[in-house]
Amino acid sequence: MNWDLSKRRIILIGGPGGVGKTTLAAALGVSLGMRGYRTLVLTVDPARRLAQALGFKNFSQSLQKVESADFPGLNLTASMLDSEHYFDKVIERFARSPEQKKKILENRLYRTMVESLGGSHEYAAMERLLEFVSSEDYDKIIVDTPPTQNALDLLQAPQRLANFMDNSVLKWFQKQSGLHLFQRGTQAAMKVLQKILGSEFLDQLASVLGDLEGMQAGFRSRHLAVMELFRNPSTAFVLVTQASEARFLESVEFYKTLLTENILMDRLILNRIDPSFQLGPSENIPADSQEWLSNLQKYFQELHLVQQKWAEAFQAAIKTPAIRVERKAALMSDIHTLKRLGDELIEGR
Amino acid sequence: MGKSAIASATALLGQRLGKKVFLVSWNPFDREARPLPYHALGIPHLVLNGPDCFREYALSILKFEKVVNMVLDNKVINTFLTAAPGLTEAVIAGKIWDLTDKNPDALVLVDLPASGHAVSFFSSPLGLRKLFRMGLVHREIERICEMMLSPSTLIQLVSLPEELPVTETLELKKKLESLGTFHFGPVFLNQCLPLFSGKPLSIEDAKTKLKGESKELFDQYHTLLEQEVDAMNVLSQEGLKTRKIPRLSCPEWITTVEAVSKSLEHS
Repeated sequence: MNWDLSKRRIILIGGPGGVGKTTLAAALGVSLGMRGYRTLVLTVDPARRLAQALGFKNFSQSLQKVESADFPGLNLTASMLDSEHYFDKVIERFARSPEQKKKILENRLYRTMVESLGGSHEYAAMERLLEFVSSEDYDKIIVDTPPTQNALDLLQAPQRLANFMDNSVLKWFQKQSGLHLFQRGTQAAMKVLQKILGSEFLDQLASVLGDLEGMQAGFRSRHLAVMELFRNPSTAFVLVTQASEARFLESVEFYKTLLTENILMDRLILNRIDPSFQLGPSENIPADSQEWLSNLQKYFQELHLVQQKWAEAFQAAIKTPAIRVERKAALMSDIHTLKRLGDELIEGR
Repeated sequence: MGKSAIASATALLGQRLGKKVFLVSWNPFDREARPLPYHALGIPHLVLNGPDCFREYALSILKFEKVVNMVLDNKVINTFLTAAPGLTEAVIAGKIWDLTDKNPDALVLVDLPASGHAVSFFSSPLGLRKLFRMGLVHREIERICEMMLSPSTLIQLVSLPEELPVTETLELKKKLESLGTFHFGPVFLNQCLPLFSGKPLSIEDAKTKLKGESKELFDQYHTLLEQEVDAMNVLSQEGLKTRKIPRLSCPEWITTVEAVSKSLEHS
């Protein structure tokens, strides 16, 4: 079965950790890049693995053209996300004045936020994606997302940040001058919160939130733009997983979340299904090695059967066209192997 | 990578060895917990999420449930607490601290999220510690950081015998080391080939004596074995010890966990 990507511009590759998302994103990038599409692969996984899959020794955070002497026609660019610096750029974009920008970037809590706020990776990634989408420099944008639970963060992080900067919360924190704006219940609750968290923590927050004044509308509108992009028919969400019970249960949950959010799952990729082998005639093999070989064959056959069983369960529960990819006995950091894998995904076996 | 299966298998082993065991899953934003059949393990399993941990923390300070409800049921405050930087990770870490404090002899196994996001579990309290030099938050954060950096806390990294995951594991360790002096156990190299009874065929014999699918079978085995050896060499060059966990053909998660638990006991 062919996978028609001609009408898709953004391909979001999601799934749990360790299932081969990065490799598949790179493979798809190489294959699309060889079909004449101006292709970009963007990694938002905080672990910088895409560089390796594309054969880079050093991977700059900005754009890097993938060059291959064997594939001179390859039109592929890769981009790595550095959420710390990128978040600074987001602040620069939304700040209303150079003074506001300076104040925020020098705030101690802001620096801690950027270093430790889980959602900032996702937020910055979505910002970067929106930038690429609007630039129109690329026909195809492939996004290698963080693992499943965090792929949900990818959808929800901009919302959480927008909520954090909610107008009503901000007003209270602006030196509490807005306290009178609240209902009495909220006023009392805020005072108790002060007791729980301590005034120093809240003072620090008040300071950073005060500095962010006027930027909340920008954050909220970007969140809406991200959700619109995800729901757009030109966006393909691809779930990469493996055929096992643990992966089945979490993938079904993920699929349901996408349905709730009205986001279409374009393909389910069941990656690394072990092949099974039939033992053929062999000559002059000692009896104990025959036993070993037979055990090896039995092992792969059992793995294959268990995976087939779960693959069928996946396809019964997730109503999306599925692609089964066999485990390859080759290193995936070679660009030829990546292209073969990418072609297999698009053209079928 | 199989973190949850390995954490569960270690918990089972701990229980078999007579330890009181708690298995803790990390679910910061109170999404539906990972639907794995933990109940079948027969081990106390806690799913910690930010809102519940914050409620418990607030109750320990305010003492009255009615007052806590008044605060946490408020929409504006809820909005703020969900998104306040580092707060969720800090209250979850606080709950884990509480668990170890109340059960000093227990083995507490925490199944953290994937690498990039596991870092925020450690960096949030450490970052907040730098910010607050005194007061209530400082005291709480100080206790959490002490627990994280104590020799009784072991970070057990899980990797796969492949080039990309091994690099990711090394990057994670480097990142964690830049945050503080943590204590690391051997790396669990998951999904390695099990041992097969009989005498393994030599490469030379395989080349000359095997044909067709028999040869393909051997090639598949040999490539996976080479990847394992490469992975172990790379980790060893970085001074990391490894423990191989076999990839098993068990049909269900629970049987895999039980089998891995037994293999851990024998290794």
